[in-house]
Amino acid sequence: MFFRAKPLAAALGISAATAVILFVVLTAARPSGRALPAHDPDPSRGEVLYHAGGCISCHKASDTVGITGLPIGDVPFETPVGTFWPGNLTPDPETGLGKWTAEQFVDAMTRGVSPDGRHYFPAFPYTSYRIMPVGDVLDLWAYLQSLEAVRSQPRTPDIPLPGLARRGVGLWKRLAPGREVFRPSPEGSETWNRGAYLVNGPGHCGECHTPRNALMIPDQSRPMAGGPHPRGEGTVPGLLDMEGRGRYSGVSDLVLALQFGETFGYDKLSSGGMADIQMNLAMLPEDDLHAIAEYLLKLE
Amino acid sequence: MIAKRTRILGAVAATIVITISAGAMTATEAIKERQKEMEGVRDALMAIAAIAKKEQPFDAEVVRANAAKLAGHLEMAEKMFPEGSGEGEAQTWAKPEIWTDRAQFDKLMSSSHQAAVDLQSVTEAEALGPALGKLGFGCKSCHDLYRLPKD
Repeated sequence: MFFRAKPLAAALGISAATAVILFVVLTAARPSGRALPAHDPDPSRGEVLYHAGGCISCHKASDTVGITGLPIGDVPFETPVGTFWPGNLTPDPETGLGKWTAEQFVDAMTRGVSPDGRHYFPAFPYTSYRIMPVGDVLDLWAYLQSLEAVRSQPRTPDIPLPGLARRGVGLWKRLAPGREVFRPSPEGSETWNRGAYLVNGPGHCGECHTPRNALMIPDQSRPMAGGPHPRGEGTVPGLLDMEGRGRYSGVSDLVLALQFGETFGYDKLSSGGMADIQMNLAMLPEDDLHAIAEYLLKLE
Repeated sequence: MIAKRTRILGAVAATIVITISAGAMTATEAIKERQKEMEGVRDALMAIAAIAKKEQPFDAEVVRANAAKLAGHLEMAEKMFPEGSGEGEAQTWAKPEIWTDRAQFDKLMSSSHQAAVDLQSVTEAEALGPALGKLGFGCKSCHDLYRLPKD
């Protein structure tokens, strides 16, 4: 018995050590170290992406200034998992992105990895932003760099075991299916493709409107089908066949809804955070709103 | 003076009646009542929005009448959120924060009501957009905080 137990313990010890090493390796966050392609950044295109993404809604300075303020991230983001403090997106060197490089910003946006090599919690929807072409991310970067630098309070998230949880995110990223950079479909019109890109990339609509499975991974077999609200309150409406279900009479109706929301009596466009989203979308050029509406109304 | 006193008495009487009826009201009744009032708000808003969308020509009287109707329904709706009416036998999307955060809820309600009152004095087409925007912002702010999303 004594002789048997020893190899067993050794085997168990080796398995456990292997598991730990495997876990550490699999869940590590590494900067990509990739060189960026040459790009002449256009901050005005970046500003459009900024509004399409509604960055300010999570990164706002206070509830009072709301979406009209600068994105310094001083309002906590409450989720069932815990409280997150969104980052300061202004170029402040200490609390903002002032010391970041473009490479680090691209890594954060498309891979969810911070400059100090940690995984971001997917409350920051890099899972959608990763379909953005690098040029678009750099345009957004140029816009953020043009903002006034404002200091914010540095804070840490209030969630159980943050270090282990971040490792867990690393594992989650490996389980969640990767998404390729957006490529226009030859079957769709130019407008439809622009809409598809804005909705699924910067707009990250699917983060709430696509239901998630038990591992909190968006169920891509049912895109935009609606489901429980990720913040744990109520139901997120599905976006399929909205015309057939009598939600909107057509593209121009939905464009007006996105521009004016409840101001024009479009009752569905508030609740659950949608009022902020609508007010962000109202700042998009009308062509882009048409593109979004055309794409959304073709979802079946 | 007498007219003013009568008005005040009328208002006091109305408040008492509403307070008593709201007090005697079951949660289910309150839920149904406030939803009915909110439908009234929406119908009046849609009539004004049709002008803002340029589906109808600008008519100051239509705006005034509907804004007045809207303000009335909103005032009634606000009184239909008594304590304990967060749940009932009718489906409701009211969030419990209405009652835990009552001062903020009342503040948003009364600023929306004020926006509806201001809307009544719009006499030019150019002023409609901004006035309506202020009201819409009130609706949005309150709904985003205190109403659950629904399909």
